[in-house]
Amino acid sequence: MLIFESPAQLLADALQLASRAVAQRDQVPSLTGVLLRASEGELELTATDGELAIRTVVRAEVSSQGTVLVPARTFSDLLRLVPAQAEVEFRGLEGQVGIRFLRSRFDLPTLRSEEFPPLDFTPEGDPLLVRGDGLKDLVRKTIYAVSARDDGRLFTIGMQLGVRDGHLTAAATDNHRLAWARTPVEGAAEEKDILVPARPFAEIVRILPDDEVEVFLNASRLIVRTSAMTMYITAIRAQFPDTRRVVFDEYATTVRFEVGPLLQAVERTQLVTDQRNARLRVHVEEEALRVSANSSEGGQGSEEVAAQSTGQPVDLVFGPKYLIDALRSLHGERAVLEVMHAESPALFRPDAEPRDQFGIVMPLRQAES
Amino acid sequence: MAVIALCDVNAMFASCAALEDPSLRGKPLLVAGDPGDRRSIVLTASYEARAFGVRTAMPVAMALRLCPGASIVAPDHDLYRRYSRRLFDCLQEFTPIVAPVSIDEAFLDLTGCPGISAGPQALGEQIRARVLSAIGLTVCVGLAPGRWLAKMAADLAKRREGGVLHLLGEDMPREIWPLPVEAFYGVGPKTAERLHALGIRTIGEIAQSDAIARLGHHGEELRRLAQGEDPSRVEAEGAAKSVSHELTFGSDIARPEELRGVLLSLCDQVAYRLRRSGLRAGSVTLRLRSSRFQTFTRQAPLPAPAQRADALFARALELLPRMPKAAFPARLAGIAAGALSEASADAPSLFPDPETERRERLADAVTALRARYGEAAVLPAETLGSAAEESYDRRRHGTSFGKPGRRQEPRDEP
Repeated sequence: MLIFESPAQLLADALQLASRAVAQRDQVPSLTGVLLRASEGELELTATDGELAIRTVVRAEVSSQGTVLVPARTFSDLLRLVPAQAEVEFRGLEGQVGIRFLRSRFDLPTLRSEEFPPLDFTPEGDPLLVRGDGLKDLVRKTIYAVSARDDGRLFTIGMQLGVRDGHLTAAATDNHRLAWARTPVEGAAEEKDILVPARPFAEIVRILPDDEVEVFLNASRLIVRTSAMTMYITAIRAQFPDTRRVVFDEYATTVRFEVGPLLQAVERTQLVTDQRNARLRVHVEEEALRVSANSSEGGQGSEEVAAQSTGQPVDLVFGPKYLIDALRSLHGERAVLEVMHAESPALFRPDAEPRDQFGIVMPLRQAES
Repeated sequence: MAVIALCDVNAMFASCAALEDPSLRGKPLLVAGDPGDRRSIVLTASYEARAFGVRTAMPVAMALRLCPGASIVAPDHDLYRRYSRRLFDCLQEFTPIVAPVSIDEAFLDLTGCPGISAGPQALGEQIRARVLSAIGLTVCVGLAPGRWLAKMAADLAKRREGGVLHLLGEDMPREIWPLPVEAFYGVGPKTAERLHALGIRTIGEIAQSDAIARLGHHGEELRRLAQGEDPSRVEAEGAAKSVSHELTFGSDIARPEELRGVLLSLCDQVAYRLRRSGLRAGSVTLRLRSSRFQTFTRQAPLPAPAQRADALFARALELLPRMPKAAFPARLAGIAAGALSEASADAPSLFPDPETERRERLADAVTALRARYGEAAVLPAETLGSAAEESYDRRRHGTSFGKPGRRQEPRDEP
C-alpha cells in the first residue's frame, strides 16, 4: 500500500517531466508507465523507453511507503485538468490506484511494477559543469544536420558529444551535410567522445534549466543531472566519422556576406526550383553572390547579394533546403563561406573569432550538359 | 458510358527519321541497330519497306534482298523521346487523362471530355488529324468502353482505311468474335492452350461457350470482355509515378522461397530502368497474383531513397512473408518502385562508404553494358535458372517504359 498527498500542480509537472522518457509505442506495456516510489517525505518518479531514462523527485506527505506503476498518459492527462492548488491524495495498490481531490474520486488500473526494468542512475567519475542554455544552443546549431530517418548508417541519427580544449563539442551529420558547435565547460580533464541518439538528446536538453547542470560522458551512456532530476541516454555503438576529413586549413575561395539578405534571396529563389529535383545555383563573384534557379515548368529567378570574395570565382549548386538550414543555424549577422572547388564540401561559419560553430554542405553534382 | 482510346503511332522510328530528314520521305526505310553491319536486325521498317515484305527483327541482309533500294538509319532514342513528348502533349489537348504505355502509344480517357459530343468516332478522327498536322506522325486510334477493348480496336484500326475504329458491345460479334483466341488482349500462350483444351478456338466461343466457366475467375473475366463489357479504365500519368515490372510464370510457383530468384530479377530490371531515367525510389511494392486470379499487394517505404537492385530486393524479401497464404500458388509477381525522386537532387556523400561506392560503380558498369548489348547481357547469377531468366529484354535497345502486365517483346506492326 502506498499513500501520499501532494499539491496537484507539483505532481502534474513532475509527471509531465518523467513522461518524456515514456515509450511511445506499447510493445512493452511496462515502459508506457511512470514508476512512483514513495519514501520518507518524498516521491520519486521514474520512466524509460529503454534508450532514455528520467528520474525526478518531488516533496510529498507520505503516510505509507511503497511502489506503484501508473500508465503515464491517463495520469498526466487527468492531473493536468485538476485545479492547480488542489491537494491530491493517492492510495496505490498493485492492480488499482485511487485518486481523490476536492470532492472527486477516481479509481484507475495500474501496470505490473515488477516488469519495470531496474534502472541505475549512478554516474562514474567527475561531472562536467555546463550551462543549460549553452547545451540548448549546441543542439539548436547542430540538430538540423541529423538524418530524418534511419538509413542504415547509425552515425547519421546520432550526435557526437566530446570534450576538447575546455569546451563541450557537438557534431551531427546525415552524410550530405555536417554541423558542429561548441560551448564552454568546466571540470574537463581528459578528451573524450560519446555518440548518442540525437533526437532523444535534444528532447532532454529542452527541459533543462538555463543555469548550470552536471554532465557525465560515461563509456556506454551520457548522464545529465540537475537539482531536480537525473537523466541518462544510452550511447549508440557506432563510429562517428572524423570531421577533419571534410574541413580544410585553407580554401581556394573565401566569401564574406550578411546572413539575412542571402537567406531571404535563397528562400525566394527556391520557389522556382523543381520539387522533385530542387537545385539552386550560387555563383560567387568578386563583390556579389548571385543566387539563381529555374524549373522545368519554365519559371526562373535570380538575385544578387552583396559579398566580398577572395580567391577563385566558383559556381556552386545546392539543394535549397540544405542551404537554408545551414544559413539559419549560423549565429550572428555576418558569415563566411569557404570552398575548395565546385564539388567539394562547402563550409559556412560565423565571421567571428574564436570559431565556435560551422556547417558543411556538400554541393550537388553540376548538371551534365 | 466510358470512352477509352488507345492512340498508337504507325512505324514510330521510321516516321521520326523521315520527319527529320525529308529526303527519306515516302521511301523504303529501315531502322537497324548498326546500319553498317548487314547481320544486325531490322528494329522497324517504314510502310514503304513493309510493302516489300520487310518485317521487324529480320536481318538487314535479308531485308535488303527483299527491298534493295531501302535506306538504313541507326536508331536515335533522343529523337524518339522528343517526338514522344510532343505526341503526349498534343494528346493532352483532348483530355487531361493520358497514360503513356510506351514511347509511341498512350491510353486516353475521353469520357465526358469537351469533344465527345461529336461522337467517339468523330473525336478519334479529330485526334488523328490533329497529331498529323501538329507533329507529322500518323496515329491509329481505337476507341471502346474500356482499355482492353480499346487495344483490340486499335489493332483493327491499323488495318482500316482512316485508321480510327470505335468498338461497341454490339460490334463484337462482327468484328472480334471471328478472331482466334490468341488475338485477344490478355490471352497469352498458356491461356490459349487451356482454351484449346476446352475446344475454344475463337473469341466468339469465349463469349458463348459454357466451358469457359472451367477457367474460373479468369474465364469469367474473358467472357465478359468478349461480350463487350470492359471495366478497365485509365489513370492519368504526369511524370512517371512508379517504375514497375511484372512477370507471369510459365507454371505457378507454389512456395514463397521459390520466388527469390524471380524477385531479384524483377528488382534488377526495375533498378536498371530507375538508373537509366535518373530516378530513385522511396518505396517498394510487391504484387502477387494467385492461380485463382486474386491479386495481393504489400508496400513498404525504403529507409533512404534507393536506385540499386540490392536495396529494392532487401525490402521486397521483407514484404514476402507479409503475403497471405492465399497468394500461393502464384501465377504472377510484380515489383514497383514508387515515391520517385530525381537522383541528381541527392548531394554526394561527405563520408563515402567504400562498400556502397563499390556497389554503385558496379551498377554503373552493368548499366553501361546493358545499354550497349541489351538487358540480358549481364544477369545476376541468382536469377539464372529461375522463372525470371527469360523475362529480360534481349533487344539491344528498349523503347518501352515499364509496362505493367505486358511482356516486352518486339512488336510487328502490320
